[in-house]
Amino acid sequence: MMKKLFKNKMILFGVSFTALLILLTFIIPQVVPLSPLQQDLPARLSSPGAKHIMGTDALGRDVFIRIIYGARISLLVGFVSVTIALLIGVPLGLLAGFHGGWVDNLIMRIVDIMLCFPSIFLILMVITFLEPNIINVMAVIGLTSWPGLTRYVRGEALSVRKRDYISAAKMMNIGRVRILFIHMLPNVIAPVLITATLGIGSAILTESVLSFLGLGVQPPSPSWGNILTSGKNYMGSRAWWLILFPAGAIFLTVLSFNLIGEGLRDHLDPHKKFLKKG
Amino acid sequence: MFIPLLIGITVISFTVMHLTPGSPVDDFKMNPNIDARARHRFYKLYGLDQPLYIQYAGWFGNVITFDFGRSFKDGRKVLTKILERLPATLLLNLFALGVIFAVAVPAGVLSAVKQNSFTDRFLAVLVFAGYSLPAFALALILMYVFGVKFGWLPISGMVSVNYSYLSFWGKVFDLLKHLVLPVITSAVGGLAFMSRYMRATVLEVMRQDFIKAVRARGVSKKGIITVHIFRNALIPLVTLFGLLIPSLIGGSVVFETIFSWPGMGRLAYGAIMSRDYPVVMGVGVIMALLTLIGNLIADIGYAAVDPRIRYEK
Repeated sequence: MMKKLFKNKMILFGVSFTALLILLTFIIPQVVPLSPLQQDLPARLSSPGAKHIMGTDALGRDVFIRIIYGARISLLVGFVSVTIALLIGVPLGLLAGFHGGWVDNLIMRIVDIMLCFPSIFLILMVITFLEPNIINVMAVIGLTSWPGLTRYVRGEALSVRKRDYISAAKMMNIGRVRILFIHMLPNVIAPVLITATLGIGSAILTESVLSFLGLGVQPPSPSWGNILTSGKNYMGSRAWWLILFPAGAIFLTVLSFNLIGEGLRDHLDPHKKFLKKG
Repeated sequence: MFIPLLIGITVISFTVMHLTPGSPVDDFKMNPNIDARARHRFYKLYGLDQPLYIQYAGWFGNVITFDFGRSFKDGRKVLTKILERLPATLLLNLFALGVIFAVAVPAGVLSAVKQNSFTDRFLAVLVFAGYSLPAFALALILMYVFGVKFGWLPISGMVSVNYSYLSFWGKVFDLLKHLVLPVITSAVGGLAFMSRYMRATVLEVMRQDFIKAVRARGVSKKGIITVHIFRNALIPLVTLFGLLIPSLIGGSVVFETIFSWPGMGRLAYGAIMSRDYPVVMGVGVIMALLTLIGNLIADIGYAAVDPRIRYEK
């Protein structure tokens, strides 16, 4: 199975890049003595060169080091907020699909309402009133990104619930919770996995937008978003490296997760494959 | 469906706004001329001393008549503030929608018709890149390249300083110049999504029996594509229109802030930053309303293009 997965070039690229990034976030701090806050004042706003491979920002801090430390935050936000969304979205979706009736109605109307809001607006609204820090960012992204997942899981659950093995389980008087998680969950896990992987990418994207707007990770802590803010502020000084490198980091990371997600879809989702054959 | 959704939306935005710590009166703490008693009077004036449900009931009653109250910041009517910003936002998003459809539809059809060709693969890579592209970072890159480096395009605002001295066509040109970068960045995300969807739909239509029948009758390939496939592929496109609206409108908060575009999104950002409750709530409701209207248009359009769909009376 694993071997087959890695034959897929999309997955291979995605996993390799993510693994490399994670590895770098562990290795670089051990090997390079620079901290992301350390200033090299004579070399303020210096363009990429031998000493600072990605240049320095207006305070003389090394951009490469800041991007590597920023990666920790981005990856953490990605994984944690998706976990939160999964913990809320999957049980609700299973419940709605399995139970039907008013429970289904109630849950799906809440989902509809949540989906009506431009999610970034909702997130901005909440985050401004909370202290903008990484924990709140993760919580808010997680708490606002479950509705799509719920809708998806519900659809899957609906198609599973009339199957014979569920009826059999009901007949054997197995408890509802047990049916939901032991009998139904494994059968809807594939699409959940795909959605979750894609969700990590979009959570990373959201975090960078928030930090860029000054509502996420607060300076001086490095984050890809707030490096971009300094890039915007020093655009007049033509500090292109403050824009290009963090933008590239976000792009490649999000791309990797999307590639993994799509690759998984090719393998796990039989319907999609059918479509592809055309 | 429409009304309960709207009520739910207002309840959520109201709760969120009021559950979060901080109050609009906090700002006055910095002002030495305003003592605690005056602050309290402000508090009372805004009705903040009332229980939440009473505040909500009062506010909701007004919202129905589009009266969102007055801004805490400058005392102007929220509706006036929003209405003067709305055209800019609509202009930006309509252009973005236009670009999305104008590019994504032909691209999707092309890659479906030439399935698995080099063109298809190339477009697929582009689309995938577009999916993963952080649009706000792209905005900065474009700003840098076209605005700062080459100086071809303006990077902020909606019109130039000398706007009022320009001739009519000069004004139009000036506005269009300011539109280019914001429109491109707003369109990128939807573009990828849309062309990919279009490709899938066209492929699905192509597989159907009536296409085989048309082909058997000897209709030219061009005829098949433009008349038979295209029209049938349009149906799901209409629904997508509804899906695009929220992301476009949500995106305008970010892009308008980046490009200093004087629209609703930037108004919202400023209001959020200064805890101007009435403005934030007003913008929230209007945004959700626009989304709902978008969905409604999509539903109606759906019934109009697909004769198989008839809503029960």
